[in-house]
Amino acid sequence: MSSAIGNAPAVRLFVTILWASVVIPALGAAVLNRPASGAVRDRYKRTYSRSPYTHFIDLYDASDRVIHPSESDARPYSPKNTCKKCHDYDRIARGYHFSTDDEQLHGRSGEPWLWTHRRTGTQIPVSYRRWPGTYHPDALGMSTFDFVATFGSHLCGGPVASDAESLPGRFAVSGALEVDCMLCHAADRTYRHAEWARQIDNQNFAWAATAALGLAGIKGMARRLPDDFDAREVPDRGVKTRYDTRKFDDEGRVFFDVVRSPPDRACYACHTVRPTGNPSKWWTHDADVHLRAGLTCADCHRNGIDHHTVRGYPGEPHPAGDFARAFTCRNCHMEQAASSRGRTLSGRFGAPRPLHRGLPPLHLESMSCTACHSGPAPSDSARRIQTAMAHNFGVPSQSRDSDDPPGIVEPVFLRNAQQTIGPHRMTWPAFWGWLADGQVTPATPDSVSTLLRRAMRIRKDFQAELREARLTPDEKRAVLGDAADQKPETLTERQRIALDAALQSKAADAFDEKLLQAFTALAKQPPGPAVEPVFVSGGRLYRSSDDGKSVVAESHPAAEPVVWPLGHDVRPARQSLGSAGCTDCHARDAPLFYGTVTAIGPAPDDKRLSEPMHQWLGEDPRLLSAWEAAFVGRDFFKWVGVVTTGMIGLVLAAAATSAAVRWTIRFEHPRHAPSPTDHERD
Amino acid sequence: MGKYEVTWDQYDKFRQEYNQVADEKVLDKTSEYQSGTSTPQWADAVSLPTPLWEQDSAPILSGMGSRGGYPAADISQYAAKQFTKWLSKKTGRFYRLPTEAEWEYAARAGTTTPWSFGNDPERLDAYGWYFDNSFYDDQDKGHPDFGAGYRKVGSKKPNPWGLFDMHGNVSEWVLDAYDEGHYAELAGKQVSWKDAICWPTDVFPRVVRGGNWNSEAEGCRSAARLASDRSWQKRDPQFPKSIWWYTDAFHVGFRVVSPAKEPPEKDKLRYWDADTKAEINVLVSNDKIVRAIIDKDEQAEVTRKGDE
Repeated sequence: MSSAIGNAPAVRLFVTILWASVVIPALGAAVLNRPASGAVRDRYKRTYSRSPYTHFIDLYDASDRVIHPSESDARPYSPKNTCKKCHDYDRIARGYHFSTDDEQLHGRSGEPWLWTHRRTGTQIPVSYRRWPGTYHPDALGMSTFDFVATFGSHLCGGPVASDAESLPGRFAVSGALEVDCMLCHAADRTYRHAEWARQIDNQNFAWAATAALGLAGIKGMARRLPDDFDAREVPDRGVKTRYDTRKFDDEGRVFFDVVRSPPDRACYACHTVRPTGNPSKWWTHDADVHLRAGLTCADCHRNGIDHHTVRGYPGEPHPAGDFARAFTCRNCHMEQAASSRGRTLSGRFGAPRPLHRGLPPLHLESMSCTACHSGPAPSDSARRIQTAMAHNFGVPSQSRDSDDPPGIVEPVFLRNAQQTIGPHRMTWPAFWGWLADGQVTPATPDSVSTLLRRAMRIRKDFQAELREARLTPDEKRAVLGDAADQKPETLTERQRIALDAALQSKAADAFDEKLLQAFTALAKQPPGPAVEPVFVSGGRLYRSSDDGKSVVAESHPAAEPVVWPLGHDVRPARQSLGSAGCTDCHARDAPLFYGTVTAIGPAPDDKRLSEPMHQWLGEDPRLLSAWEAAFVGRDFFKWVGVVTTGMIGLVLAAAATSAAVRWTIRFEHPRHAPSPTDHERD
Repeated sequence: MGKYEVTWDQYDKFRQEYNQVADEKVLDKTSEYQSGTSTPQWADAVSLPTPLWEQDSAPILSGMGSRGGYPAADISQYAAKQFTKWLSKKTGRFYRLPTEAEWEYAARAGTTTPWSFGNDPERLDAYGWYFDNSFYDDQDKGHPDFGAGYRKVGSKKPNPWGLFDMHGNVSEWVLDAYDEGHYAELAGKQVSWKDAICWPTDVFPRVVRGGNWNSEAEGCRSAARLASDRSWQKRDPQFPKSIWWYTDAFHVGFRVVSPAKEPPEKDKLRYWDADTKAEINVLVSNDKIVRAIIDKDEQAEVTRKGDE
């Protein structure tokens, strides 16, 4: 006992020391690490002003050295090393537009890259994202360098090609294609996308940002330099950068006219869509209703420093969670979307709440908002369009034709994974490939173009040359008789139809003949054992018949179209589907169900897949017809209903009035019961 | 008859000299304008390709080759004729384009077979560049749209008279307009060589002969004819379209001929100058004329080499 008592001070001392050794350092650390009055400390400086910071900055090259513009061996500026001084470049470069490695964020399908090669009739959907129907570049044997060289004109750089030192092959000559911040954030109109595209075409990847911003003139083409070119050994032969010294101040700094929120024109560089046809008719085009109302693309498709641009569709996987999801049509215009902290996120920008008067609620459940409000109003057939990414918009050219591949159509109404109907864009793969065990592997254009050129005698454009079927004088005479010598404009309608049919038939025969020649040539040089050459185009797979004398067309998963939903341009309520009544959709000729979708690809017209929209939607045409019958004379029946209801009402009112009158009379003049007095009188 | 097709190296000398003259004209006019004696006329929208077209043609020329012996191509018949005029002034010796009959006579070189080497199209590979051998495996070479293109002149075997590339490489301008029935009309008649020419009255169609790098073997026969077409200037962004340049005829070039007996001076112009109202209007409105800077020593040297 005494010993225990005698040891108590020692125990207390020990406990005190222990407590102090744990708590005091912790408190100290907490005090020392406490941010000063609300500030968030990180390594980047911030202005916290809505007014953008005026950028007079030093430029750094790929080796992180400050650029001195008057030096003869000055190198192109590196957006990465220049911008990362003040911005979290590494985080930015993992954003949606640049990142390809985070499968969780790939989301629903978007427009894939389309690897197009006219001479072989190739159009292969390519994407690093795991979107249905697309091929990963690795699966096609397409190197990262080839990917950038092929699609770089509309690729804003990024991880796929940003670290030249770690990338093999020609990147050592071309340099890296870093994320070019100014491609989107240049405030003025001096950023030249066409120049960017030209430098990419010359394989001057590292020079593209410098040239596009007009900081320097670039001489030379990396594409003309050998793979083992080393500028240090042969400095005179390399690509030269001549800075415009007028753009640098006395201290060697440059004014970067930076805007925080990218202007619409930056988005259009890669996201322009136009219908094919006469370009002079463009003036008839209306802009998206949101843009007309004063919004910009970036108002809805916004992002934080992580640059995960909000795509704006229901269920979008986004690191910002609820906040990002608030930018769908429905959340902005209809529902009271709320963040996890209870803050209402809907109604942004004063978005009006639609009445949808007379629209059965079922429609809002089974159709996306875009079905009625987005893209062109559907017509008898899905229209052909061209896009910036697929048709190299932004680069001046006189050579664009409406038939230029790849062929893309819109709108095609399809059900998404949630069985909601919405408008989509659609394209069909076309390529030569090898069939083995039911699987088709596309052949790259390079690997087959020489063989096919010889076998099929194709010069420039497989698709266009297929249409060049001409009838010999004898064939023409067989179709038109004595009228064969007449000028085309003097032929009757019937003769023209007969002539067209003969031409189509000849084109189809020529197509089969060319395919057989190609299959024979390809079969002589197979890439492996037990493979069969095939051609995929226009929604079908073509192969040689067993006896090798004819061509067989079949359905095959490899020939299935690639689709992606469309969101723009948004049409206002009065131009939406249904604004003219139920029969916009529920009628025998309604484009939503009966518009035709015809596959585009190198194949004669009558061989390409062509189906009505209801087939793509999986609707039973008999049920559709029956349902549509309910809408025949609907207005008449409505009037009949109104009149009948009115008449019934009148009858009921009359009956009621009569009853009321009788009741009133009875009330005022009750049936006279014999009174005792009367009785007595009797 | 020229042993080879005219090359870019030769044609560029003409262009450069023309540019030099044009620059002097600009200076003249500028000084006149500044002194108030003239209205400005130095805008040159027609005679040379504008930067707009150069944007498109640069990668084509880069792939096709324009230095070191490649045939000049994609130029109009008028430009080819002006080259012969310039060359004549420069050398003091009369040059012109061959007539169609002359061209075929030279191509056949005394033979009567489809090709000057015989009847077998398989042998064409040794004598000319055509569809089957003009393809490039290197994607950066040739016409970007075709993956194929012309080759340096004289890189295949010549015909029996020592003329190279009479079959294939580039089709060659002759003086004649294209008329399908012209020779049928002359059949059986005794006419002079001059009367056999089908003199053009329109810019299109005119005749090119010999086939080219994009032709089938049949198109490279000695007798094969091809008509020029408006589609050859389809992409020309200028208005009016250039009378010097085509945008889509990289398969067409030319070679020159120098007759042993020179025609009188006044007749020479017919072989050289514009022969349609459309061309003349463009020239008049733009005040163009081909000038040659004549150096007598150089002329003597050129004439000596030519004689050799």
